[in-house]
Amino acid sequence: MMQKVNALDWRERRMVWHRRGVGITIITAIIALIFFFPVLIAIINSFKTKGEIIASAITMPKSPSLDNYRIVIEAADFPKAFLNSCLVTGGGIVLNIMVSTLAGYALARWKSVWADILTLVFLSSMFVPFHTIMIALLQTAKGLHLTGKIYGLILIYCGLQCPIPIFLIKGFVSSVPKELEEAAMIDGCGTLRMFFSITLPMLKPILATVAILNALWIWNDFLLPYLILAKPITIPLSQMYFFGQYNQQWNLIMAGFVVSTIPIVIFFLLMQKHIINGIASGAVKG
Amino acid sequence: MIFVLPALAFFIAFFIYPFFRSVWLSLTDAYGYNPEIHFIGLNNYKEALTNPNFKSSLWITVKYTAFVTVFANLVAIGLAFLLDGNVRLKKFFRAIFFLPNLMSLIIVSYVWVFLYGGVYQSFVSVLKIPDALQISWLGNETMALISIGITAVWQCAGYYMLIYIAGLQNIPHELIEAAQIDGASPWDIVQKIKFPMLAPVIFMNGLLLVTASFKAFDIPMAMTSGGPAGATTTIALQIYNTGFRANRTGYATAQSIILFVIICAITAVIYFLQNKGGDK
Repeated sequence: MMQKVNALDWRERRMVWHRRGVGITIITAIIALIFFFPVLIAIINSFKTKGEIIASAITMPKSPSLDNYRIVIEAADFPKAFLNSCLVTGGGIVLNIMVSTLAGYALARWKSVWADILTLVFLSSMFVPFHTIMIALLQTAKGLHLTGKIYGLILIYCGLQCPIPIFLIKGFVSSVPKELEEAAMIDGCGTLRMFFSITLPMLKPILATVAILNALWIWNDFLLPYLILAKPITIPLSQMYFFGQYNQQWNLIMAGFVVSTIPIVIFFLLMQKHIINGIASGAVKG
Repeated sequence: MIFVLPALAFFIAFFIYPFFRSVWLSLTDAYGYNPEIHFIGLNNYKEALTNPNFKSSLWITVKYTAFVTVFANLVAIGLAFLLDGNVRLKKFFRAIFFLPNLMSLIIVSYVWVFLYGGVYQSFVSVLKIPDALQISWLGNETMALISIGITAVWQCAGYYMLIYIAGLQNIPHELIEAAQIDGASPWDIVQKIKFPMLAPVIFMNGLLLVTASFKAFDIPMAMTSGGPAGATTTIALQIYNTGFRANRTGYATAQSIILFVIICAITAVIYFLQNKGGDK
């Protein structure tokens, strides 16, 4: 009798477990742990000494210390790289969004064959790999004396990164009823004022998404800053030079990994919704 | 419509002009910053298409692309199905799987060099793996390509997972409920409803992955510098080496135009296949 009750009890509990998704959650957790293993290893080893890592890379640190972090921040000139990365990303995004918004708006409202042709030209650039223009671009940048300068890199990002925002903004503006603008016009509103006080506020959500996704891309980009800047370092560049300089000192390299990843993780946590929705929505629409 | 002009100016200066200059340079014997440039017709293209190094980089890139496209898609679909199910802490897990995608490829590459080296050696000594069964992750020509492929899959799967999750959530709930009422098993639902409904997303992710992998540069550059013995020299890395290490600007731009043509062709073929599939 007692046993039967227990069996029933057990079955019921299993049902509840199933409904609450305990089993699948545990499986997911195990997979997540495996997936996260490289990051864990990096974090653990960033607190160890070089000798400890040579002895074993998979043990916990005996006396965790922040020495590696101190060395990385000083030797890789991390604050400066961080500042440069912020400048390049921030400047690139602001300028990019400004010119793309104007262009996207104009192309949506300008009914002419030329608008279609221009849109097509902007769009066709998406098929061109960066490596195809890289050499000629570097020559152009040298010719314009833009190499080695942060603002030079910002200008180049603005040119290279504008097609997708223009396309998205154009699509969005086309879906906004024109009557709203015409009403404002009739009330005596000029084109400029109408753009800033009526159209722009409506564009805010899409602008935020575009800006954030572009920011992630620019922040992590390696090759263009490497070619154009070389010396004023951004974070990926600082890590590359640091890796070359401290080859095989994995304790330092792992600390560098953690330090350079923290800013982007904070950014992700703050902007999570925009990033995830941006990737999901932009992609599903194709 | 003066509004277009600023964007257009930047675009012409940093995209259109360099693009046409690339096309022109590819027809010349340009060398480094030597101002003397001679038109030599299609000789660079002839050289590229007969040069064993370039041909091998093409083949390497094709293998790498196939590996990354297949496995990143599989991992991404798997994770998406897992997170689409009845899982607790969904957002937390989603963030964990997406996290690698936020990191710079250069830095991710260094972590993986460490994993394949020091960390693996530590496992070998703890688990006492016999010499014969040990893997030389980055030292062996075949393994090196697989190893950088694994790194790429780990880094990008989370991104495609997000797209798949969105795709799964777009499937009308009524469809699944109707099937459940008709007595369909969970596996039937996955096979007969979810997969067909996901087909356009799979195509799109496939296209994104193929075109992105064909341009792979950061990971091979940081992890192996194209070695051992050129076994991981992708086309992009080959172009970089020809253009900036060997300074053969003309020849390098010809290679880069070939890359451009290949990417256009792949995109066209995938679009064609998708439209054909859609007609059925």
